[in-house]
Parts: sequence; structure tokens; C-alpha cells
Amino acid sequence: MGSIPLKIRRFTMDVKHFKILNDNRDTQIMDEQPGCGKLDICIGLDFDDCPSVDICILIDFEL
Amino acid sequence: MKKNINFNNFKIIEPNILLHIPTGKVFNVSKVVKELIIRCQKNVSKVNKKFLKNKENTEIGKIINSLYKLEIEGKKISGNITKEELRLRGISLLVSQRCNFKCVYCYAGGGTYGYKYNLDMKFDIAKKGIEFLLKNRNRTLKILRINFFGGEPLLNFSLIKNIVKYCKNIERNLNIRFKFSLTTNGSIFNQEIINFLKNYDFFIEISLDGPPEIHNLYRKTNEGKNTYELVKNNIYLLCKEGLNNRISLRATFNLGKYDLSKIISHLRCFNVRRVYVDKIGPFPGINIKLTPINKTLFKNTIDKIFNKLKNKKHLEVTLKSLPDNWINLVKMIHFRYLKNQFCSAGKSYLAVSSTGNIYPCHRFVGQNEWRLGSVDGGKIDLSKLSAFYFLVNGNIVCNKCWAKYYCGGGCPYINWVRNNDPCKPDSENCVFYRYLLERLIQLYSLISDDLKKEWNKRRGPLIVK
Repeated sequence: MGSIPLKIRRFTMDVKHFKILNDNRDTQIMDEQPGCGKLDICIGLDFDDCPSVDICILIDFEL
Repeated sequence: MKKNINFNNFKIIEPNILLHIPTGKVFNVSKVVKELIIRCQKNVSKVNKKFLKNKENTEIGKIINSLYKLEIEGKKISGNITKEELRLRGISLLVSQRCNFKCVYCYAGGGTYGYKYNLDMKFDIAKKGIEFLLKNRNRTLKILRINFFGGEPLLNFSLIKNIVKYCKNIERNLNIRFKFSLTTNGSIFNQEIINFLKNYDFFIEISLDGPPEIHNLYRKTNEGKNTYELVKNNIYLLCKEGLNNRISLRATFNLGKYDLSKIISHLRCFNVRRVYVDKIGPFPGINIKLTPINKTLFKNTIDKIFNKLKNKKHLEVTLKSLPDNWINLVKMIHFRYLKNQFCSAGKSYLAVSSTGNIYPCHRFVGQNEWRLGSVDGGKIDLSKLSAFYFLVNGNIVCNKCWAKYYCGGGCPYINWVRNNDPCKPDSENCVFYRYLLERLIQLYSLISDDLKKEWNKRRGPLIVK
């Protein structure tokens, strides 16, 4: 943990130094909390050898 | 004013990529940012004295400002607190713990999982398994999933037929639908089986380890015969019947020993819906330790795949040549989906053995200490599941790892085999996972904005089923 003293009031991303590559939607935590529904976003291809993994992360479109 | 920035929350990836771990945001950054973060990670106080004073304060100020913004954003993102409670979305039924193959790396002891009797599941056990699923299901879901697993499940095809018939009968009254899948070695298909799988819209996963010279080394029949031709012909047969889109192929590869790109391209030639690759073990009795030569070979083969991709003009087309489990990681990077657990084993998914014993997942079957209970009576020992509810950032080892939100802490079974603890990651696995992820992030940084926009359109709104 580092602590840097600076007198800056506004917090914005500096586009000169940072070009975001994955700028879409809010970050989602895909935990398997029972009933939380977040993992239900995926439309897994049913089960495969490790079904739970793919249910977690499959997203319903082909790249 | 003081801004607390945890510089360990940032990962610099060559040539100039920055990953902010808590938010999953990926940036191309300037040399100044890169240098600042690397220096801060080494020693923040030195940075204050030397680096910062040598630069224009306003410029550095803007960068620190940006990093601080990310840190604030990251603090707002958190998963839910988990507790041991089953809300099942599906189960695996081990309908046959017999197998006609004797694969060298089989974690299931040739399919029996150490069981000696009752290797074929009876209808009564299967029915109780379905009842257990229904009783403990996540009631917000309209679809429940049943995977037929083994051994070789098609050795007990008559039971599969009866279970599916039973499920179809009860789903009408319950306002739910069952979806079925089958994990098979691909050796037993005939017209009756194919018609059945088509009629009930099965998803079929077949193990194929690559071209014959690789597949035949590991996957032989009980009599020691090669199996490649048999499996290949069956895949062609299924494809001829229009099942391409319902098939996934999975190769288990011996890390560093064979050219992985050759395995991947071989599987892609079948033109099926999904292709997965995964490395062997470690499993009980197959504690494969990698030699330094194999480690180098693995890295070289990964580099070869990615260097080839980078040089292609149409990245979107060549991306498709990667295995789907790697493509999934690209999707996670793009959509900023972070995992704080590896999988849903013991939470929304369980496995039922041929005798009706319940385990956190199919890999744990036969391990007494992980037997949770039985479908007889349907009571299970939830206290045994606590290890499956840990979060990756609550884990001392994983919390320091920059790749934790993509791997989720690793497979609990492999962790347990390697370290006698489902929560303690297999360090060898971690090294390769990070290596792969780094390459995938580099690849992602080359994807055009237009293609990403296209992905966003096709992705559509989040769908809650």
C-alpha cells in the first residue's frame, strides 16, 4: 500500500495517458451466490466435463 | 490530502498494457504511467522522492488522479457474502461407473471411482436423484440441467432413456424444463442412440485428445486397442446427422509434451460447436510433475499460437481458432466479468454416484471425506461444503495474484489432490494460467474498436433465466 500526497480535487481518467480497451457496462462479479441471479446471465451449453465452470462464464454469442 | 493507492492492484503487461485488478479494466498506457507503477510497486517512498520530483507535477498528478479514480471504483465492486446453502441448477448422474476405455490419465480409476459393486445406477436411485434436485433447486430458475456422466454413461443407455422420459413427465406439472447433456468417450453410438439424443436436444461432449498419434497414446480400450478411428468415425456420424451444433470436443493434453496448436487445430477441423483443451491432472495416482524442459515447451507452444494470431490480418476470424475455454476468457476480459469463485460445485451443482451418494462434483466421487450424504433420505452434510464457499480474495495465496478474478482460485478438486486443501491453489497450475492469461490480454489489446462494438451489439442485454 502506498500513500501519495497530492493536491488534486477532481478524479477523472486522463485520456492522454490511459486509453481504455474494455469500456463497456459495469464490472460484474460472477459469484455463484445461491439465488443471486448473476450467474444466470449465461446461457451455458448445458454441461460439459466441468459443467459448473462453463455455466459461470459462457456468454450467449459467438465471437 | 492523501490518496491511498494499492499499487499491487495494478498489473503491467508488455508492451504497454495496464490491468486494474479490482475493476478488470484494461488500458493502453503511456510510458510514464508504466514507469510510475513499476517503480511504485518496487518502493513507493523512493518514487515520492526521486521520480515524482523529476516530472512535472501536474502531469504526474493527473496520472495519480486516474489511478485513484480506479481504486475508488474498485472498492465499490464486491461479491455477495456466501453461506452454505444449496440452490441447485443441475446435477450430474453417474449412470454407469463402468468404462470400456482405460485412459492413462483417468482420475476416476477407469470409471469405477474405486467402487466395486453396483456400478450401474438403478432407476430408483436416479429417480431419487431427480427428486433431490427438485427439492433443492433454485426456485428462480425455469430450467434445470441433468448431465449423464460416467464411467461411460452410454453403457447404461436404457436408464438414460427412462430418466429422460420420467423428467419429461414431471416437467409439465412443475412449470420447469429439463435440459440434458452427455459426457462420453464417443465409442458407443448407433442409430437408436443418435435419434434419441436428437429428439431430446442433448448436448454431447466427446473426449478427443487430438490427432491419432496423440489420442491413441492415452486413450485405449480395456483391451489396449487404439480408439482414435472409432471416435473419429462416430463424430462424423453425429455431424452427418446434423448434430454439429450440439457437440463439444475436449482434449486433455500432456502439458509441454506435444504441440498444443496441432491438437487445437485438429479438433477445430471437425467443425463442431465447442472445442476445449485442458491439461492432465494432477489426480490421485497421476501426480504429474513438470520438468523444466516441459515448462519451456509449453510456453513456447503458447507463444507460437499467439504469435501466429498476432500476425494475421483478420483477428476476429483467427480468434475463433482458439479453444472455447480461452475464448471465454477473452469474453470475460472484454465484458469485465470477474469470478471470485472457481465454479458452482457444492453450490448450485452436485454429483450423484451410481449408488446414490452425493458429492460436491463428479471429480470428488468415491472420496469418502467428500461424501455429503445420499439421495436416500436426501439429507446432506452442509458443513463439509464450507471450502466451496470461500472467495478468491479471502484466500491468502490467491489474494496476491493478479489473475485471481479470471481463475477464481482453481479447481477445488485439483487443489485438494495437490495440497490436501480445496482452497489452496496448485502453484504449477497458477504459473501456466497466468502465462496464458497474459497472452490473451495482449491479444485482446489488438482487437479493433469496431469489432468490440460489434460484440457489444450481439451480446445484447443481460439475460436472467
